[in-house]
Formats: sequence, structure tokens, C-alpha cells
Amino acid sequence: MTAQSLTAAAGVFAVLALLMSGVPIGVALGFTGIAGLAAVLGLEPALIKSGVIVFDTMSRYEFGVLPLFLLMAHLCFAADASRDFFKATASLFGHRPGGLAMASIGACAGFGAISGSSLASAATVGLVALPEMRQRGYSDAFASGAVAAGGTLGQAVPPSTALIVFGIIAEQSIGRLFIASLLPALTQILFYFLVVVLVARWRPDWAPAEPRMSWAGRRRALLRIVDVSALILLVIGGIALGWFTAPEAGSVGASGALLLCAWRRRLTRSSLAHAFVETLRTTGMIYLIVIGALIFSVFISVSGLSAIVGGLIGAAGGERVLTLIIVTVVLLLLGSMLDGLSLMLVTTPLLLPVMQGLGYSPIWFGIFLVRAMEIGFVHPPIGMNLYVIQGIAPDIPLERIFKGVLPFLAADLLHLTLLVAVPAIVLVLPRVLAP
Amino acid sequence: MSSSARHSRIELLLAWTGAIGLSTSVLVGTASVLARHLRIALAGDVEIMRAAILVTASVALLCATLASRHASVHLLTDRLPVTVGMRLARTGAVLSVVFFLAVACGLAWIMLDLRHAHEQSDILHIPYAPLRWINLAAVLGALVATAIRGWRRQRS
Repeated sequence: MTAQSLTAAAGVFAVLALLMSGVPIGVALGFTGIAGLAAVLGLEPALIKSGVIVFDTMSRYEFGVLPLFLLMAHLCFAADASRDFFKATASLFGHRPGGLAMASIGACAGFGAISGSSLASAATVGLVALPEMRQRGYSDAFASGAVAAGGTLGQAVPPSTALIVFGIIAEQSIGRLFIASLLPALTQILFYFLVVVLVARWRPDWAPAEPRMSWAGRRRALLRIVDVSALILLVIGGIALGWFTAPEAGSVGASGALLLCAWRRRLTRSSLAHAFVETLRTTGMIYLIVIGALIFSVFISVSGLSAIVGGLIGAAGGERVLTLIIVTVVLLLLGSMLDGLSLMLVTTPLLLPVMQGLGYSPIWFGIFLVRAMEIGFVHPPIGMNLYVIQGIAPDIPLERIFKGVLPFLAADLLHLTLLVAVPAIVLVLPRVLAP
Repeated sequence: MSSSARHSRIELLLAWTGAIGLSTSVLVGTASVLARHLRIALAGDVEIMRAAILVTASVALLCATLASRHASVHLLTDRLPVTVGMRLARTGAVLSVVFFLAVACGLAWIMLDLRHAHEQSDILHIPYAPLRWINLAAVLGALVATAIRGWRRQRS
């Protein structure tokens, strides 16, 4: 191992130590990256490289997709879309055992297609769905577990902020990543529905059925989401069909959300100001992380550490499946210590070249990584979604929320295995729609 | 004027600037899609969007810093004694200041190197120098905001 690689290995440990010390994620990555580059190349190239990365990232056309989709999400949030999604899906599934849990998962997927965030999906849908389910006699553990797990769909369904960030770091087409995430998200929803059905059969008292809603009631509930669903379809369909690029889709989505807010009479000066301010704050937070991660990844690539990691894996047999199992275990272990975005940003520069060397598509790896990252959102000790749910329902102990999420966690692991066993689930749509 | 009032005025000004940048991106992006589908040539839309995105991103970085919204991992720090937690927070603030300072030096270095280059975009000839200044100002602003917050925390 060369001195440069030793420096890089020390850098990886330094990043982990700084992250655990509560240093802002972007600063931990960027500071280590600049210090490492200074050690390897000298101070002047390190400073200039960091300056180049900052200006290039902040003026990058493709990255404009992030603030635009965030603005769309905040405007849709102002239009009360999460409540409408839950009511619509509850009107369809509520009469079945576990129907409201399915409705929560469906609402999380629907709201995830607007917000692109796991935490936002779990929080907004949880606010509406949890009190409703508990009032109807659902087990608090099962209800909270369903919402916590459903929230992870926020990152799975396009436009996902995690996929946008991966696209920037890995220099992959964000549009292709969005298209590739469609089938995995759909199968993930089906897996969750299956869990609900099985749990409702095993313990009917945990998820009692509701009286069937009349067709007029269903029609009313569904009509409330026609506008938001049309906007989501336009945005995702437009990218898939090549009508517009991802940043243009963000512009169209934000324009549509603005019109939707006005149409629903929710467009006030304060709601607009709130949407702009929240969009700017979240955008700034993500930009700092991405800038830090890009500086860190330059350091890793200059040091040649990823080549050494690849070599070590090769020396261990170079077996694709074995490598993937090792990578998955490492991701899940790190995911129990780091939050999702940190996990992605620390591991992508190291693991992506290794996986590409083994013949895996970067698009597939992006979806796989995001899926592994989502699992970290629902397993302790980090499990951010579990804490979000506890914030909404403080009277439910964390242990019960974790108990409720366990069957969904098992489904998540099975789903991850499915993505590994059948990569076509990820790769078929980009091949057909965006060759 | 009190410090908090000045702070909120700065945030208000930033919010307006960011909102203008965001709205420009939204309008130009939507207009370019409509124009393309109506077969009308709209030259330079990407260049305008790039400039608007840079302004938005620069303001956003400052807004997130002023609002202390930068993400960090709390797994360990939440379980530590308060004094240790405060010491780690101070270390984090110092590292943040050093990081912003390093990035600002890098940006300034490039600007100095390119001062006679008259960089501009290809179609609309949008000059890059003012955009670089905005970018540098935002990073310096983030540096100052982090330093002031760290200083106040130290004193309290």
C-alpha cells in the first residue's frame, strides 16, 4: 500500500470520526478532502481544486433539479396533498383487513413522488394516518411500523433527492436513475402490501377491517387527488418519454404545483414565502453535503484507494456475488451508524469503481445503494424514520415502533436480495425508455 | 437596530434574492419546454438557468448556515455529557470556519487567475465574474455566520 493510499485510508477513518463527533456532514467530508488533497498534492492544488468544485457544482445545470423539485414539494405540501393521498387510498383499501396500513403505504408512495424525501413522507403521512389507524383499533406498533417503513418509499419513488445526489456524485443521468427506480419502487410497495396482508391474517386484532366506503365517497376522495396525480404523471412521464430533461421537469413540476396551489385556493403570500424559505434552507443543506462529498471523492480517486480496495476484493476471489454480499453487509453495518446521505457519500467514491470493475452498471448500483440506505432509515440505532414517528406519537415507545417495523424490515432485506438476483428489475426500463 | 432584527432583515433579503433565482429557473425551464414543443427556438435558456441556479444555490448555502440547518449525525453526541457535547460543537464550528475559509481561498485564487480572462457564456454572453463574486460572497457570509455563532456559543 502506498503512502497516498495510507493517507486516504486515514482520511476515511477521520471522516467517520468527525461524523460521529457531530461535525456537519458536508464540513466533515470537505475538510478531510481538502486536508487529504493538501497532504497528497500540496496546499495550492488542494485549495484551487476545492474552489473549482464549489463553483462548478453550484452553477451546474443538472443540479438545478434539486431546488426545483424541493419547491414543487413544498408547494404541494401547502396544498395538503398528503392528507388527500391518504384519504384516497383509504377509500380504496380501508374495508380490507390492514387496509388503512396499505393506505398509509400508498399515501407515502404518492407523497414521496412529490417530496423525494423519506423523512418528509413519514412525517406528513404519519400526521394524518397514525391517529386515524389508532382510532380504528389498529395496534400502535403495527400502525407506526407501517408508516415508518412506508416513509422509505419517499427516497425510492422518483424524484428522489438521494438519486439526484447519487447522479451528481457518480456522474450518471438523473433522468435514467429516475426511470430505473420505477420498478424497484413498485415491487417494494407490493412487498409491503404482502407484509400487511400476512400480518392482518396472523393477528386480525392488529389491523381490523373498516366498513366499505360507498362508490360516491370513493369517487369524491379520488377526485381530490386527480390534479396532484396528473402533475406527478406529467413530471415522471415527461422524463421517461423524453419530453423534457430532469431540470426542465423540475421547472414544469414547480409551475404545475404553483397552479395547483392557486386552483385549491391555498396560494397565500405566507404559504409562498414559507415554500421559498424552506426550499432554500434544504437546498443549502444538501449543496454543502454534495460539495464536501465531491471534494472527498476527488481525494479518494487521487489517492488510488478505491483501486486498492478493488484489488483486495479481487484477491479475496473476485467473485461477483461474494463481493456483493460483502458490500451489502458493509453498507448495512455502516447504515446502523451513519445516516443515509453520509453513508452514500462516504461509500460511493470507494465502492462505485469496484462495482463497475466487477461489471455492475452504475445505474443499478445507484438504486441498490439507495435501497440499502433506505433500510438504514428503519433499523436502529439511527433509524431516523422511527424517531420521526415517535415525534408524531410520543406516547408510543420506541421499542414498540421497532417491533412494528420488523416485518417490513424483513421484506426490505428480501427485496434487496431480489434486486441482486434479478438486476433486470432495475435495468429494463432505462433500456426500453432511455436507451 | 437589534442584532436579531438585523439578522432577520438579512434573511429576508436573502429569501427574496433566492426566490428571484428560483422563480427565474422555474419560468425559464417551463418556457423552454413549451417553446420546444411549439417549435419556437429559445436560445440560451440553459445559460440563464445556470446563472439563476448559481444565485439560488449561493443564497441557499447562506440561508441554511444562518438557520443552522446543516445536517450532522447525533447518534453519539446526544448520549454524551453536556460539557463534552459543547466541546465537540465548538470543534465542529472551528472546522466549519476553516473549511469555509479554505473554499473561499480557492474561489478567490481562481478569480485572481481569471481576472483578465473575460469569461462569459457562449450564446447570451453572460459574464461569469459577477457570478463568481456572488459565489465567493456567499461562502464568506457562511464563514462569518459560523464564526459569529461559534463565538456567541463560546461566550454563553
